[in-house]
Amino acid sequence: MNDVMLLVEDNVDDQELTIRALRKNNVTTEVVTVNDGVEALDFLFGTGKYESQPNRPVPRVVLLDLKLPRLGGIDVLRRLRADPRTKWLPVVIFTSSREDQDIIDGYRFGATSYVRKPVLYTEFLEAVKELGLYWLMRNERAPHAKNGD
Amino acid sequence: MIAALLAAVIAIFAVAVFSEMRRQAEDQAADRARSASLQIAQLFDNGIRLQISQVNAAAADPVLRAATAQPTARTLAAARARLIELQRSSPIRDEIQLWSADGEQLLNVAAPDSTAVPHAARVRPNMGDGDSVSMSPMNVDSVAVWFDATAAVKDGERHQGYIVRRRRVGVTQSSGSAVQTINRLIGIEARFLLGHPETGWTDLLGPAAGPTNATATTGVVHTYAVDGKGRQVGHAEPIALTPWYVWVEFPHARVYGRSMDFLRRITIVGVGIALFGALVGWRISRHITLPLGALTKAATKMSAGDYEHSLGVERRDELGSLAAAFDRMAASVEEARAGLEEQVEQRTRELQATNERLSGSEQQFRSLASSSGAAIVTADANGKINFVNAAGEQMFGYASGELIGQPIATLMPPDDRATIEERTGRMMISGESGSHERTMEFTAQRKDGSEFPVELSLASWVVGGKRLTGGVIRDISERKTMQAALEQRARSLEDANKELAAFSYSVSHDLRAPLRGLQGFSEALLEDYGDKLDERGLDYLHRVSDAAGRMGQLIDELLELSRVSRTELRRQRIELAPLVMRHFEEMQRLDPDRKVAIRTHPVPPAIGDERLISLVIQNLIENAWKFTRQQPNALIEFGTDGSRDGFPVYYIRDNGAGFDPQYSEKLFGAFERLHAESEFPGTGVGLAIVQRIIQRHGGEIWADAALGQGATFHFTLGRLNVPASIES
Repeated sequence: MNDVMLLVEDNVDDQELTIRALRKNNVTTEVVTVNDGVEALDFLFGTGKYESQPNRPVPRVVLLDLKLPRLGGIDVLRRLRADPRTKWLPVVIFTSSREDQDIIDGYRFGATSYVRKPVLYTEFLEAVKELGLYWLMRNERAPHAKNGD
Repeated sequence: MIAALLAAVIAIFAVAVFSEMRRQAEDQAADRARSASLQIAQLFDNGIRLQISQVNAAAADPVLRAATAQPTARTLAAARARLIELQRSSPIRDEIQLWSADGEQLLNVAAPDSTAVPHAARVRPNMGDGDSVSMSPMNVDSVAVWFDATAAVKDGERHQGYIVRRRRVGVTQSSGSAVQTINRLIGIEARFLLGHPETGWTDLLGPAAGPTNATATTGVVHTYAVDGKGRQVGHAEPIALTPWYVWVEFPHARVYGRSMDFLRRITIVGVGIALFGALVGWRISRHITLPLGALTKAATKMSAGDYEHSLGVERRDELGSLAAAFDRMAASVEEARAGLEEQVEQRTRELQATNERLSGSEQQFRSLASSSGAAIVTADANGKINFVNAAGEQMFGYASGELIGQPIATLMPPDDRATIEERTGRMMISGESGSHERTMEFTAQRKDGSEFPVELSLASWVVGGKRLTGGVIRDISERKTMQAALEQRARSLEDANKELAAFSYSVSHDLRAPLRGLQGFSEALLEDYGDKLDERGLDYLHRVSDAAGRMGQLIDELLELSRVSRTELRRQRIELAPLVMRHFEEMQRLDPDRKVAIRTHPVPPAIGDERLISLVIQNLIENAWKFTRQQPNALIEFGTDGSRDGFPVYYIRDNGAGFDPQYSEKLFGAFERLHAESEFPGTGVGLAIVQRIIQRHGGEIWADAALGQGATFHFTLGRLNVPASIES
C-alpha cells in the first residue's frame, strides 16, 4: 500500500497537531505536507519542485486549508476540479473559519466535505481521528483516480 | 275676423283710389296754376321789356347826361323836354324821374292821369353797380301798387345819375280791370299774387298774405295754410328780368273736393260691406267655434291642473272625434301626471342634495386649499393658471393674484419646460381613467429665477366638457437635503459593515489558529511530559489550556454576535413551543445529572428568521438552566403574557438565582456579567446576541427579576420587514 494524505497547511503548529492527532489515533498513513496552494498543485500535477518525482502517489484525500499564502484554498479547489486527473479527488476543506460565505464557496467549487478545525484540543483530536478513519480507510476512491497519470 | 278682413280690403282699395284721384287733382291744379302764372308772367313780360329798352336808351341820351353832369336850369329844362318826350312815346304813361348820383331828385315827370302818386316821387331808386336796368320790388302803399325800372346815366364807367321809370300796376282799394282780367283767366275761387316772399306780395289791390318760401318750391305745387281761408294750394312762376314771382293759388278744398267726396262715399259703402260680412261670418263660425271654445276651456282647466274635465261633445264630424281624442288624452295625462309629479319631486330632492354637496365640496376645497402648506394650482385646457392658493403664491414668490392667467410654464425653468410638459403629458395619458393621480419630481422656478426641487401630484378632471388640470406641489428641498445626508450615512454605514465583515473574517481565520496551538501543545505537554512536572507545574499548564479554551469560546461568540448583526433575515412562520422543548432537551442531554422541570403553554406562532430565533431560545434556555443550578426544584416556564404594540409578549421564566433589578440595564450589554464567572460561567455575550436578534426583528426584550427569586425574560417579535420574495 502506498497510501498518502496530502495536508495543505501553512501553519506549522496545525501541521504538527494534525499529524500528532493522527498518530495518537493509530493512523499510520504517510502524510505529505505542503505549505501553500502553489506547492499543492505542483505535487498533484507533477510540476515545479515535484517535476523530478514521477512516481508520486495520488493521495487518498486532500486536507485543504482556505487561508494560504500565494494561492488560496478555493483557487486550488477550482484548479483541481477543472482538471480531469483530479476531478474526482476527495478534497476536504479543513479550516478555522465557519463563515457562511466560506462554506458556500467550498461546496460551490466542488469540495467533497467541509470540516471546521476546533480550537479545543480534545475536539480537534476527535475531528482528525474521524477524518483519518473515514477518508483513509472507509472511503472508496473513484477508479480512475487511483494512479497518478 | 272676416269683417276685419273685408274692412281691410275695402280700406286698401279706397286708399289706392283716393290717392290716385288726389294725384290727378294735384296734377290738374298744378297745370292750372302753372299755365295761369305763366300767362300772367308773360302779360307783364312784354310791357317790362319795352320799358327796360326805353330806359336804357334814355340813359344814353347826351341831353340827360349833360343834365346830370351839370344840373343847371338850362340843362334841366332840356332834360325835362326829353323825359316828356319819352313818356309820350309809350302807350303806358309812366312817371319818369331823373336823379343825380349823390341821391338828389333832379326832375320828376308825373304820369298824366289824375291819380298821380306825388309821395312816391320822393322814393329814392335803388340801383346797383351793374350795367343793366334794375327792377325794383313790387311796392304797395296806401294809393297804388307800383314798381321802378332804373338805369344809370353814365360818363364812361362812372354813374353820373339815374333815370327812373315808375309804373303803376294797380290802384289800392279798387277793383282794377287788370284784376278782373286775371280772375277771368284763373277762375273765380283762385287768387293771384305778385311779389316776392322776402319783399312781400300784392294782389294789385293792396298788400296780401302770400307764401314765405315760394322760390324754394318754384315749379312745385305747394300747400300751405292762410289765416281765415284754410288750406291753399299754390304755384309760383318767376317773371323774367324782374325779382318778382306770379303766385296763383286755389283753395285746397276746391282742388281735392272730388277725391274727398269719393273717400266719404267709399267709406260709407266699406263700413256697410264690413258690417254685413261680419254678421254672416259670425253666423257661420258659431257652428265651429262653440265646440272649439269648450275644448279651449277644457285645455285651460287641464293646464291649471284639473284633469277630470270631460267635454261630452257628441258629433259625427271631425270635431266630434277631436273632442273624443281630447277626452282620452286628458285621461292618460291624468294617469301620467301622478307618476311625473313624484319623479319631479324625487329629481328636485336629488338636485338639491347634489347642489348642497357641490357647494359643500367647493367650500371644503377652498378652505383645504387655503390652509394647505403645499401649493395647489389648477389650470384650464390652454395651460393657463386659473387658481392658486396662498401657499403656492408664497412658494413661488408671487404677489396675491399675480399668477392668475399666466401660463403654467411660468413655474418652470425655461430650459426644462419642454421636458416637464412632456413628462406630465405622459403621466396624464397613463392615468387617463378618471381623476387618477401620480407624482413626479422636477425642478421648479420662483419669480426671482431661483430654482428648487418639487414633488408634483397631478390630477385631471373634466367639467362641462372642459379639461382642467390640478396639481399639488411640495417644496422638497429639505427632503432632498435629508435624503442626500441619509444616503451619505448609508454609504458610510455600508463601509463600516464591510470593514466589520473583513475584520470578522480575519478573526475567524487567524485568531483561532494561535489559540489552537496554545491549547494543543499544552495538552500535548500534559500527555507526553505530565509525569515530569510537579503538582504546581501541572496546575499552571491546565490554566494555560483552560484560558486558551475560554478565549476560543469568546471568539466564537463574538463572531456569532457579528454574524447575527450582518446576516440576511429570512421570513418564516415559527412554532416557538417545540423550539423551546428542543433546546431544553438538548440541555438535558448535555447535563443529564440535573433535574429541571419545564412547563410550556400554547402560544401564537411567530414570524421571523428561524435560525436566529432558535439562537434566542437556545441562549435563554441555557441561561435559565445555568441560573437554576442551585435550585433543587428548578422550573423553566414558557408562555405568553398579553401583548405590546399588537404583538404577543412571550416569556421564559425560571426560579433561579435572579439578579438585582437595578442592574437590568447592563444585562444585555456585551461582556456584561452580573455574577462571578466562578459562580455561573459564561462570556457575557449570549444576552447581547439575543437582544441583537430581537431588535433586528423589530421587537423588544426586557427582564423582570429580584435577587434569589428567579428571572423572567419577556420579548416580542415585531413585523419583520423583509421583502416577500425571501419568504420560504
